Amino acid sequence: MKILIRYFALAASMLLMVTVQGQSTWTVPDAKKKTPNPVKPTTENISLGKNLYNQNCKSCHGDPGKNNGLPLTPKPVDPLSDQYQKQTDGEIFYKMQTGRGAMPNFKETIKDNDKWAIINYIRSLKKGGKTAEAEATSEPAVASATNTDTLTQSASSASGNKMAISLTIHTEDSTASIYLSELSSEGKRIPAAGVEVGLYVKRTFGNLPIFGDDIPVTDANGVAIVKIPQGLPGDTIGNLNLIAAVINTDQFGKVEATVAASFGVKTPIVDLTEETALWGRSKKAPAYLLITYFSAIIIAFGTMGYVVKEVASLRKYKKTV
Amino acid sequence: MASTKLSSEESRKVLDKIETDLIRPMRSHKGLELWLLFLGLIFIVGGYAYFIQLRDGLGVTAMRDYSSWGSYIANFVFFVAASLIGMFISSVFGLLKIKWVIPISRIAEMIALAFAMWAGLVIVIDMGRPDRLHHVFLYGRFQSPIVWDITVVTSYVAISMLLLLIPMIPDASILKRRMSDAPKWQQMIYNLLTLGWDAQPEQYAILKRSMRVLMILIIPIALSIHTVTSWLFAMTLRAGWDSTIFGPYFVSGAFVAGVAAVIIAMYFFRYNYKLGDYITDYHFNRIGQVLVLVSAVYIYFNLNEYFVPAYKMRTAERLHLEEMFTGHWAYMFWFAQIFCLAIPTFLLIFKKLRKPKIMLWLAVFVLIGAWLKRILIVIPVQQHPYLPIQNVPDSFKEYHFTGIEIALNILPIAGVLLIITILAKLFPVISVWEVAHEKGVDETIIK
Repeated sequence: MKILIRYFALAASMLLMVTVQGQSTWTVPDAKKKTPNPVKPTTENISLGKNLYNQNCKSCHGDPGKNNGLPLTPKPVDPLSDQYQKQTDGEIFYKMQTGRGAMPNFKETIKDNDKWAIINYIRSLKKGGKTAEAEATSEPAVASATNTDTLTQSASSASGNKMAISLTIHTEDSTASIYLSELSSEGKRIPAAGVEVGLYVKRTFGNLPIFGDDIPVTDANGVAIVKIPQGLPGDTIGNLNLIAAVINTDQFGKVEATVAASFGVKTPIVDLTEETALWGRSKKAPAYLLITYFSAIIIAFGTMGYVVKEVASLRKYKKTV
Repeated sequence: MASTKLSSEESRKVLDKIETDLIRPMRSHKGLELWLLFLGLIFIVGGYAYFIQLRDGLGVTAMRDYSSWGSYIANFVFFVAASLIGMFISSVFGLLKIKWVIPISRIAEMIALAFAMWAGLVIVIDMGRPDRLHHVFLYGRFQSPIVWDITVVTSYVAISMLLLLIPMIPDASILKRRMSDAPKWQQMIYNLLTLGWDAQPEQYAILKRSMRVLMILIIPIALSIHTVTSWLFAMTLRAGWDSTIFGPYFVSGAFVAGVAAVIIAMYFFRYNYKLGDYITDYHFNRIGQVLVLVSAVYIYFNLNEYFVPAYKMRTAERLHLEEMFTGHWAYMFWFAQIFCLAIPTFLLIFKKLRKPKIMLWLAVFVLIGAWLKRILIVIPVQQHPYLPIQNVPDSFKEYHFTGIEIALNILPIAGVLLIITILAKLFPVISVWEVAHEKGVDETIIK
């Protein structure tokens, strides 16, 4: 009997494996496989693709190259894996279009051109040979600020010996120019073009991005110009700490420079204990509370005082001596 | 007021009997020395414990960083609770002109005053630096419920004292006449309290009006002392204290504790002071009904306080409630809820069981449960802060009473008994003039 049960269990588990394996092959019609990518992989387009990937794909597929997708069945494939990359652009596009099992279809939710942008981004990861596993040797930035007579402040950071970033603030037209350079094979510093950089304000709990929706990308001279928004809250004297940093830290490591600039709106420090409030000091107690408290005391003890006075007058009515 | 007026001859006879009956126990000192010796021993032990606590600091108790309010605060809440009964019996029932409370209202007042006075001292016991007590008054914040609590407890002590002493005026006049052989200082007290009492109609009018004013005033003050005491907890965000019904929950619980204390005192005075003619089975029957009523209200509030959060089981509340229902505090919790509340309430529904001896035992259980309940309200909550307790010595995580603490929790109870003992030896525990009125004695001779 026992043997029979085991036999059945074995048969059942084999059947299950076959089913699972059956699921893991996803055949795409040959005609669809051959669909070419109509969108050119420009820097802007790759950047767009990256944003879309992070919004729509990353939650299941994980960080490319880290193989940290969700443990679903079948497992979402890492876009940098060979299994993924050996697919044609058309194949990937078809799968986004149709979806299967836990993967939803993006037919309506992502525009076709955007889907191609995601594919461009995925391909760019492999093409450049810059995989996420590649060791980023850059060191954290050491910032130094200098004041020049032309109301320009700048700081630069040499990180390791690969990338260097410098930030210059132009007070007259409220812009920041970020210059990025890298060390060439001949040991010369050359401008690093086509790299996404960001401009941030240092806040208590992290850095606040202030470059808006379009991620700045360095041009052929390695320079990106960012307009600094007005009205940012600064410290008590209006100082802000601006940070320029390379966005893709996986690839380039932490490359950033910090400059203190007097761009912010002066924010006076409000001492909460100085407010007239329940949490304030005793002298700052709200009027309604004090009125309630003291009138209750006056009513209670006043009434008691009245009673004592009344009782003390009993003696007046004493008749018998 | 009187049901049937008696002739002046009969009045004299009846008043004389009442006076004799009620004053006799004040003269009999049988066993008093032994009792005072017993209380004195507790005071010596407690005093020594307090000396150690002053010398070594509050570290001699189980209070640590997390449970920084321990059994002293629980004891304080219990004392405030028990003191509420003076208002309930003498004022609420008095204003409703419910006659049967007349012989027990002074007992309730004495209990109330004794507990309220000691409640303040229990707080001093809880202070690490009692020498800085005056700082509470100098630097206290008006926004703090602790300052409100000090204010209302002080007011309650004052008004309780007035409500005990003012109805004592005609009795003081009687005592002055009948206790001429008492020590000089005792006679001075009576003389002082008499205030020229001459049983004149104008004097009766003033007396009754004064009592009436105080009876009305004491209701909001008494309600606020226990409501504000509950706010010490409910004004925080801690899971288990952060409750909107804490005020009425505490007040209803206070009545349960107070009625139980009154039943115990009634039993003692009836048998020890031989006042069987005044505190009868009828009175026990009535106060038993009151206990059922206040317990039922308290059970209702318990249901709201535990069932409503337990139905939702929010993360932080869950930790607390599970410790109460099935965890570390479960034995104490279910003992207090079942044996000290549910069962006594159920048994007292039956008239056959509302007899003095049975009620004494049930009241003892109810009172023990009331004390345990205060422990359960104060301590377990602090062991489940929102941020988990990590990297601290084991003694921070659990609360184990120390001997010092136990001695210093018993000391105030002995103190309350001492105050009641002194009051019961100085004054009749039953109001002579009010009982005489009730029996139809001519008002003008009560002096």
